[in-house]
Amino acid sequence: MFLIDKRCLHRFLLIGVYTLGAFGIVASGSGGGGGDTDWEPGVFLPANTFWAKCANPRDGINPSTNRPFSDVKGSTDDENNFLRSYSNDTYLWYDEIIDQDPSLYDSPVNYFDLLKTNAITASGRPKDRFHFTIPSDEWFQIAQSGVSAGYGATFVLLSATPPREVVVAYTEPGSPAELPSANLLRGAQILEVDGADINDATSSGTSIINAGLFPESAGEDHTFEVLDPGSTVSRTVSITSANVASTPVQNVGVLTTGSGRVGYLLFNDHIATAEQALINAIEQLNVAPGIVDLVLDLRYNSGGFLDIASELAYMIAGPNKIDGQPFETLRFNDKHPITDPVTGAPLLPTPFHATTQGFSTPVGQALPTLNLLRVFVLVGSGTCSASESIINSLRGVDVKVILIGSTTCGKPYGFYPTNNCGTTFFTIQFQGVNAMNFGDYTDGYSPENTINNPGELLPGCSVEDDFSKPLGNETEARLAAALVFRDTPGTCPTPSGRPATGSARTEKGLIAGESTVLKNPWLKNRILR
Amino acid sequence: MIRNSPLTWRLGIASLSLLIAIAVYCFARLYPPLLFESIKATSQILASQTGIFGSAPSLFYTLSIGLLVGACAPTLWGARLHCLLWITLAGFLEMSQLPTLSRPLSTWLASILPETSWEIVRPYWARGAFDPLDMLATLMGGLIALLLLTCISGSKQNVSD
Repeated sequence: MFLIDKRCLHRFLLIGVYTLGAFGIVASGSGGGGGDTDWEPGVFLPANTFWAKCANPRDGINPSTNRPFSDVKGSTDDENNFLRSYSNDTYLWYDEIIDQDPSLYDSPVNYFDLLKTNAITASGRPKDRFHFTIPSDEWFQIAQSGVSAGYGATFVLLSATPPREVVVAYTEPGSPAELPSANLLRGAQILEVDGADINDATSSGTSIINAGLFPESAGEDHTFEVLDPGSTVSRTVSITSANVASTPVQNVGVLTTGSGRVGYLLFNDHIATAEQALINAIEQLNVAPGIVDLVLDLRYNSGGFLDIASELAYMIAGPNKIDGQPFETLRFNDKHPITDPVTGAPLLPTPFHATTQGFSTPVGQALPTLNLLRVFVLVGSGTCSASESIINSLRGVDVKVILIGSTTCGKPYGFYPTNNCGTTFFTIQFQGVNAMNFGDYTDGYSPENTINNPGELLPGCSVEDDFSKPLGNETEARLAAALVFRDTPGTCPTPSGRPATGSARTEKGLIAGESTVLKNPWLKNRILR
Repeated sequence: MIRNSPLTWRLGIASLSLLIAIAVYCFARLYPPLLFESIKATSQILASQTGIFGSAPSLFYTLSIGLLVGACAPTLWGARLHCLLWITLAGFLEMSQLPTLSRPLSTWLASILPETSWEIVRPYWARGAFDPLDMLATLMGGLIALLLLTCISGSKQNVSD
């Protein structure tokens, strides 16, 4: 028989209870942690099992639905598992994802980066160069209003490696870039950012340049050394970033030529506000006596809402040419041959919308039309996704498309934005094909006399971007070439030969390919609502 | 004889609250379709609740362990003291999920714990997040335990009898 000291017994019990109590909290995740599931390679629970289970649930109203957020208490594991299951279900190339244990990644964004194919296309580019995320609050703001932090200047990167060449492509009306103190003009070359030479190749230098060119928020002060077009002396400009509303349609006008009136329309972003702006533009061009041709400038339009692309294509072609044919048919992965995996709706072709879709106008209003049989489109590597779908879909209904510029980016793919726990994920889910069942232009569309990296060839001229002239000016090289080609088909200036890589910008930075329009990644896409 | 003694009551309440904590956790915070297919609908309704219900396991768990440490203490004052210590420990563990604490703590624990033990507890700091409602529930559970210890035990009764 053992005699145990009573005080020893109490201490022993206390230590035991404390230890078990603390271990219980830590191991069970009680208190907001943990929550592991066992990872079994190749076995996927339904994504809904994990949807909206968040390490940090949000309170308040979801601005995209005007209803309270659905978030409940979960863990990072839940968020990673959602991404894993969702990608396996809806990613276009789901069978090329290497399955990895979600519990090993502490950041859903980092884990998401792995959930894509690593395959390379025939031209040597990554098959999926369109995979990205943005914070949901930023997405809600941009998608609904076109508002984002910046200066209202869109920069083009003509050369990513030193000697770098960063120039202003265009500015937003009324933005900080257009204030008299800044007065950034198209073609202005950026020489220094916050004291860092634009050719600074160090990581700290690149960080300064990126932080200056792409401010994270409104109210940031940055200083630039700028060389204005035509000037030999640089000047210093200080600009404060602001929340800038994009003006997606600009410089609408009519050029009077010997062979008739030609409309010009600069269309930069497929955002919600573009719907009303495009209607206004088409109505303006339709004012009697109307126009006989249209030059549609998409050189900096990297995408956005597909429905808006469909509306514009309808307004160009008109009902007779379209005659019930589809704008685009979406092909999802082979798990979903009949229904849309996101909406559950039967897979029906996207029509050419003859009425407004309610982005920035009431739903159901009849759209004006130009009823053209051909269209001149000014393009470049910044012409991407939803913009390319305008070209592809018009070709599908036999509207002649003449390209002036350089090879487009080559993105016949798209996705639904997927919001989960405060991050919006963009993973390629479908390929779009036109009424003629064509959608294989992953190397882009090129004018037929393009020298380097030709994609799918169309009639037109390879012409380098002309930063010395304002957009919409009939002496600007691409617009001038369009007017000449229109009068004398087949007549083009000497091809530029400048490589047009059309690389997508996955992060804000100067690491992308050449001739890259530096825009928010989401704007380089074909997005469904 | 322990029947109907304060110790019996404390152990009884502690066991009950521990069971409640486990039940609430299983319903609301694990993966209902896997665990309880037959009651999936109920558990999904519970799981959709936010706020204090999501923190209910913290409340019941702190309450149950608070009563257990109280039951193991030799005197009423000892029970109260250990209950307070337990509240402090549980509160610290919740606080330790704040990034400012979790990072250095994780580094230190990873350096002193055997790899297998660290793998078990790592997710608590690696992926858990501090929740003010959990903190509130932890404090409430501990205070309820403290109150119960005092009420059940009587002012001068030795809790070990």
